[in-house]
Amino acid sequence: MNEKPDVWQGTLALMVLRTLETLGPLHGYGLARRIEQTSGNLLQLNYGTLYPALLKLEQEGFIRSRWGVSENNRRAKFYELTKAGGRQVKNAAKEWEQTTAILARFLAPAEEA
Amino acid sequence: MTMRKLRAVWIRLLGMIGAQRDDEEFAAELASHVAMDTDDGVRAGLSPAEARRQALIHLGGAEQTQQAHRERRGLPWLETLVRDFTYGLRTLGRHLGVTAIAILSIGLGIGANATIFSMVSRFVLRPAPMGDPTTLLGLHTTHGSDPCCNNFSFPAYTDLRDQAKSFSGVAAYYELIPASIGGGGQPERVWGQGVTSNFFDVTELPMVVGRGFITGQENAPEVVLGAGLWQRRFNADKAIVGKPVILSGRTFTVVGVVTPAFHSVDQILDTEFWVPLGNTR
Repeated sequence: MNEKPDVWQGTLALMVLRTLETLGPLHGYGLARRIEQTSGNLLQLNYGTLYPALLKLEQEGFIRSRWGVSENNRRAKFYELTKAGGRQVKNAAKEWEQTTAILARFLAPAEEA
Repeated sequence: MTMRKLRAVWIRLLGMIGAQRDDEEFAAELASHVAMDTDDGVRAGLSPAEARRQALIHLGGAEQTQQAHRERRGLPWLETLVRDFTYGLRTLGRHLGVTAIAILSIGLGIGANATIFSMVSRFVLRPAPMGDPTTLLGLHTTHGSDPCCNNFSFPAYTDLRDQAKSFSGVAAYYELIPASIGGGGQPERVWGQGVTSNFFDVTELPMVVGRGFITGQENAPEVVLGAGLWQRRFNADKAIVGKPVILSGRTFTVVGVVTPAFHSVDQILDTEFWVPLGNTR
């Protein structure tokens, strides 16, 4: 079996924002599991790397956090998207689509002319 | 986007305060994370100990995560800088003798430099207070094609003065003449210059009292005093013009006192009196 690819630098933030946008407030562990599941378990996510990324997003004002109680009655810190975060998802998604579209042109098999 | 980055830097700066509490809060968050992961492991059929071990592996180490979080919270390089600084201060405090000597030598160094600078700035950097410095030129002979010397023979000077058409006036000075000044108080050695009678006209020097020399009277027994000498030896006597001063045994009549800002044309020499050039032959 092949090694699972690591999460590329910078893409984790977009994954976090997009996950929070679709699923609403989540705690760190829930986010990590969701990201893993959404990737179809193809990504090797070191859960620990999620927290500095969350802190960065919070410092930049894209998400906010508060303490709450989890579905299994454990105290946990929940993260949710701010308005600025919502805008950021759209911008970053657009940029990402552009980037992948450009790369796709390079990677497409050469047309036989 | 830039605003967001600034905001983040600001928050990280603030994050350096109350780091203890933030540490505890994040430890609690991590604990709850590990607990939830362990719960899931147990539900999947692992023993509690194995489930917890797996949870920590998923996390990539609790201590490492704490550290990464801590670094993102504040500005690590700034914290290191502050810590180095306080460490430096503490070390200095422990070696008081060395510290005292170091402070003393740095202090002396700065003091000496400041003194030298203030003298240089007084004498050299500040232009001489002459009428219009832009129209005042120094004349030099050349050697090869390099400027060489500014000592002209007297006939060369008179030729220049009488025949050069580019100048409204040409004056010369001869430096430096020592003289002892006596009369009323301790005798003192002072330094002066012999100048041509038109010196004060050509340089357009302002006078505190009196006047310069009368053009053409190269041998007049007259003296112009520097303001420093005038204040030191004559108590800044406003009525000094016309009074006699004895320099090295010869009697001169004071005709004027030059402005205190003037020391010499190049401002380096601290000249204190001027007599017509004929007196120095």
